[in-house]
Amino acid sequence: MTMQQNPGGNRVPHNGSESLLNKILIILLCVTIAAVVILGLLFVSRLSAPVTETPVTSGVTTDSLPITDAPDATDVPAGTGPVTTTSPITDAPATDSPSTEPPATDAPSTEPPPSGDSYTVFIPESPDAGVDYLKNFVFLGDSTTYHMHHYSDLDDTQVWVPAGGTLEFSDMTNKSVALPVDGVHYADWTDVRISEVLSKVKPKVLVVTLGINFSAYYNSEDYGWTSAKKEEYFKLQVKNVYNMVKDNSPNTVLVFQSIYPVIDKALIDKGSPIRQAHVDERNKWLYEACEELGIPVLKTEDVLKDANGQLRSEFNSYHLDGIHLNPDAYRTILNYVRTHALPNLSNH
Amino acid sequence: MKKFSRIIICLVAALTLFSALISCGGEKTYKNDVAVSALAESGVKKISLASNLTEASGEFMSFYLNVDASLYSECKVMTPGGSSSIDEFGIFKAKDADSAQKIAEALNKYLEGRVATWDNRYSQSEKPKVDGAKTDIFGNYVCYTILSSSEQSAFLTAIEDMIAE
Repeated sequence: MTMQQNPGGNRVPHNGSESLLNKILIILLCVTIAAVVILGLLFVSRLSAPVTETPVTSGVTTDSLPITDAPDATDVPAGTGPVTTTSPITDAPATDSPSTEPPATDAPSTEPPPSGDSYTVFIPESPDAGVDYLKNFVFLGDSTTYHMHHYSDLDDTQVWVPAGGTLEFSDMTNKSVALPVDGVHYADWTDVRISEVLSKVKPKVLVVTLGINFSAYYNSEDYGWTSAKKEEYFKLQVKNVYNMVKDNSPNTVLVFQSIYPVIDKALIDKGSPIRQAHVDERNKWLYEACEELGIPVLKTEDVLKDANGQLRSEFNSYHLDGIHLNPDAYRTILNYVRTHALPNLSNH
Repeated sequence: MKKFSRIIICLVAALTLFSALISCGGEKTYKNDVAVSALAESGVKKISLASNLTEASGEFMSFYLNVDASLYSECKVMTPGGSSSIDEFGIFKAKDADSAQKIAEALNKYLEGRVATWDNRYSQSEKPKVDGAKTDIFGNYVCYTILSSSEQSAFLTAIEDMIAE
């Protein structure tokens, strides 16, 4: 034991072991506090950024245009122009063995594709087949077909569109449309796989108008989508529809219709990136695919376009969005169908 | 008494320090023997519009996801069949950790493309799902989700609960 002087100046006995214990205690407390603080910081950091997550880098590519809120509008990379290649239609890869992307090429085909009216699949003009002729038809499409529900005299069961009102032209074997239910308003119909609807309803003629919604078109090469790949995928969807009809309702006559034209100015005013040039390119792919498969085509774009090759303004919907059609447009389309009748169905 | 209380405090501090050291370290580990289909079944229960989902075709897998088939042994990808909901997810069982990373990279690329080419045919209310889409790695399992924030969290928790050790 040693002597220690207190603040009052008196000497008092001092126990050395107690002093050592105090020091150990203080050190231990400091270390414990430090460990708890570090642990707490580590815990908080784990809450905000999980170790196993791989973050997605979101954002718009430098060549994308502003997104719009118009129905059917999609982004488009600036500078994407028509491609003159003609790619053969390929079968979809097997479900149980998905393949990697084949090497892409943008080299133009050595053979000039059919142009203008040289396609053999365009249904030629005929005498008017009459109103009853249209009862043979079912129209499958996106929102540009959906409005036939209330802008045409067709029965609701003749308009096949998903309950959501629009349809993307991709992965067509997995797509659904609202199955007609007697006594139920079409807006309340339930979506059923197209193949199932075909097998149940077995329409005499199925007119397909799809392609304005083709989001793959606007994927940039940064994400693996070359022009050749887009064309290949588009034509694959034509074949998917062809096979669905063949497999589920082989007696149904499949007809494709032109993708309807649009109005560039209206789309620009609304901030939409869609342009008539894109529609023209996809129609070219459509006609080539139909030519290869022998699918007849209703080339209704001929009666919908103005002198500038865009949708006639008097046919644009009341929203003037440059895409959707009004009752006059559908009357014109249905009149075209009657005056370009399929030989086996025509009353003449 | 004073000495006794100091000893007690020392012991408590030592115990706290020991506990802190024990809990501070080591990443989670995951099982490797759970079927992807079982994980998907568990996760899909957390999606309110699950009836809208349809199993992705091989065409979708090869054209859109671009995931090399040699990297995984099992997968389950569910995509929107209708047009009212953009919900989508995919679960892959990678062959090893390196493969898992490569799968995640491919999926992230796909999700980036989805953000860059937002499909306006869907309602704007669906856009947050695309913006919030992400890829997660749980051991050798890689999962991507395009779901609402709450359903995404519930979905991933359900998956992780089945494979966490």
